[in-house]
Amino acid sequence: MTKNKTITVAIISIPNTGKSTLFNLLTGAHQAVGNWPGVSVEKKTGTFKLNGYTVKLIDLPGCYSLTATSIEEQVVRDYILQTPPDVIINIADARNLYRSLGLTLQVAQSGIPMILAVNMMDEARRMGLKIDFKALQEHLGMPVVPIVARKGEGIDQLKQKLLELVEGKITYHGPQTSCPIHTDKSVLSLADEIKKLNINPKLSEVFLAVRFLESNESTKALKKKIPAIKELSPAIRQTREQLEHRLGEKIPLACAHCRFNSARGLVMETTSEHITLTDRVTEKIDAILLHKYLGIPIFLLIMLFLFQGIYALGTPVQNLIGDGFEWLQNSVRTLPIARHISPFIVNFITDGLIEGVGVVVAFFPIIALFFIFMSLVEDSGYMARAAFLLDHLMHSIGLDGRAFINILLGYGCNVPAIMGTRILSSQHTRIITMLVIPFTLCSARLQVFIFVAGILFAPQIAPWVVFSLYILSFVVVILVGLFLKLIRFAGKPEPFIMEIPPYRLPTLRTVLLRAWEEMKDFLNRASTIIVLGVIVVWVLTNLPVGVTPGSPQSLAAKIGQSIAPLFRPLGIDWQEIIALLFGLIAKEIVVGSLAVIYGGDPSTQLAAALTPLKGMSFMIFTLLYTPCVATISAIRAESRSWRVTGFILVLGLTLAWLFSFLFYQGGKLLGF
Amino acid sequence: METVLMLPNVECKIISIDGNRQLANRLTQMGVLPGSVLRIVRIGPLGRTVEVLIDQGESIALRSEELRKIKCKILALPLAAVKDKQKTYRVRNFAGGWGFIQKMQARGIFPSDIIRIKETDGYEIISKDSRLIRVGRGEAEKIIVEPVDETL
Repeated sequence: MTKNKTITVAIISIPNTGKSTLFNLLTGAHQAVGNWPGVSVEKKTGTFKLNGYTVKLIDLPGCYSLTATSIEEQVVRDYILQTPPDVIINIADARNLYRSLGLTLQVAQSGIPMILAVNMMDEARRMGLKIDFKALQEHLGMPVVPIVARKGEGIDQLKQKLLELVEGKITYHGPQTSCPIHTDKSVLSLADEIKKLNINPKLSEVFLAVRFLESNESTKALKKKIPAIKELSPAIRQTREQLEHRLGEKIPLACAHCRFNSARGLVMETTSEHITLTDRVTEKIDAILLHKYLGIPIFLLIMLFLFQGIYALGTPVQNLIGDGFEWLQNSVRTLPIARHISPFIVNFITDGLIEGVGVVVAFFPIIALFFIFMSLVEDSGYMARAAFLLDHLMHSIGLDGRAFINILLGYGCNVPAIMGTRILSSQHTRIITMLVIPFTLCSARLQVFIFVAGILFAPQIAPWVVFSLYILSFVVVILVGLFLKLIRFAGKPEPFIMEIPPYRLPTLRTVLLRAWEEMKDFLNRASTIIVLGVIVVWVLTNLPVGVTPGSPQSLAAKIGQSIAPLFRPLGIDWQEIIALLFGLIAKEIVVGSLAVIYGGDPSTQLAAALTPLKGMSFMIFTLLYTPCVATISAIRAESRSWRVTGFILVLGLTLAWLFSFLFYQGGKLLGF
Repeated sequence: METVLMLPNVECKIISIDGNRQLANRLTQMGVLPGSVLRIVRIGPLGRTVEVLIDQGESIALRSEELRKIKCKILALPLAAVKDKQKTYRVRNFAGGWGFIQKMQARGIFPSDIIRIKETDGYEIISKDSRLIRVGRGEAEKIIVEPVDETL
């Protein structure tokens, strides 16, 4: 191979083997995060230089097997089938080789040159485990490198082996997995058929034959690329029927049996002693953290701490950024040049553009902190525990325990909470969680409620008003969850199988990289919609040229007045409709825009314009209606679906209208 | 055929996984196959969610209704979970600290003792030398016994 060539390398492994740590170690900050096409599964790619080669590294989602039982596994299977990489790096957990080798043996069949990196060697050594790497290497027919990804141990050897493999200094053989004779025979005869088609030199025909026999989805995945596959369908069906009849079980199950039997044999031959992975420390910590009675209170304390941490640290920075942008707006307005340009354009720049960018930047500290805390919780292994503790509660609304943390954090800010859904295990839970989060009472909505309740209610009553809105938010979250479960909006839930990994100390590098990546990601994916949204609202409230923003002559007011009849049964006037429209940018703007619209001192004006009943109805509407543009764009970015995004807009508006209507009309009937 | 008992320290060997095909597939691809041994570690505080230790060393969480679909052979269970008084059991180990082991040994119960159960209400057991020993319910939860196959 010539130098300056790009080689594609994919990292594949079962969950919890330190895949991301190795990925980060190899690529550093040269990463890009995106989604796999059509699904809400994260796709990470990165590059690094290796002796003149550019290595494009792809971090495949964690999966147990290419026999897909989850969306992540489908992504991996389709990736290998459709665009086979040049080299595969497979990571195994040294403490439990058996668990990892099932996947290794399956992927090794593909014929793609492969390296096995045996990670967490330090912990294996501490447990007194010895692995015969020479024997393992011989049996697997591929280079095997012991590494400690957390400490960077063995990475040079890994790169060295990668280079040797690429330059053809070592050749790849691949292991032999023995299956019952008739299975082998059927697979080989189908492989011969595939060979006749002469389709893909990169993948072994035996590998393709097994994939095709296992499921029709594999055939489907290749059909687009290689239409000739269609000709095989009768042969595949026939072989599958014959084989399943003889085996008395489904082919994927039979193949898993062969693989894991081989894996068991390999482990017995190459590791020194029987593995006792139940590490003492984890057992002791779990006895407290997962305690029958103490578990949930401790969880709530940890959450309270995280919550307080994020907002105590983030809000001052956010305010600082807000002040900075306000200063920027003012200084642009007072620029000498501003006097020579029409005030309309100056306003557009300051209140439209700068405001829009300001809204985006103001999210940075919260998102960074949120993900720093999230990765601490996740990398330490506590996330799985929290999910375990609260699973039953969430199961009743069709979610699993992990989603609880996201929903809870939605009470701080919806945006990172929705971005955080990508760590959830299945597409089903991700979509449902994304759709209930907008009904949580975030801190921006809280500002509105404190302001309005403070004006309309006596100081003794106001806190209870806000509290009742919290309760309403809980109720709506549960109702929406139940509703989505009932209509099966996100398809069937997957069976719940969650690994509970041993506790581990998170590394600073991984945590910081994660926060950095998320911020970059937010900037790339969310910012355009946010800035656009802000500009649209600005245009509506400032056109036609020359009107006072938000005044009765503006476009927004015209819209507000024209849809006012819709809001009359809710006790909401056109002035508040404009405020709600402003609220699309960010909920906290609702307060400021009320001030603009009513002019002068908003407190007395509002108190005069709104009865407590009307105010309450307005607050209920504010709580439930369409989330802010940042949240909408996060939902769009995470779900990769306009259907889901559109659904939340409609659902929010409908629920807000319904609840306000019931409340206002009910209140009127009762004589308030 | 037996199903898994939802109690901590119950150990069982998988005979077959069926019923829920999706679950069966998932577990199989994880390497949990007929012949694997499961141990219930704990039940979640709200019930229904169960932490299970697989003999290969990993801990996984499952829901009890899914776990019940696994057909298995019970290998060990706490004395408190024994329902069948006719059978003979062997004391396998104590799921307690050093103090508990001392206490049990002072009462004459040692690991690998063959015992019979006389009364499951107040837990009266008959030890190998035909002495009657009473243990409390809390203690019975920590004495792990395995059924003795009398046909051998």
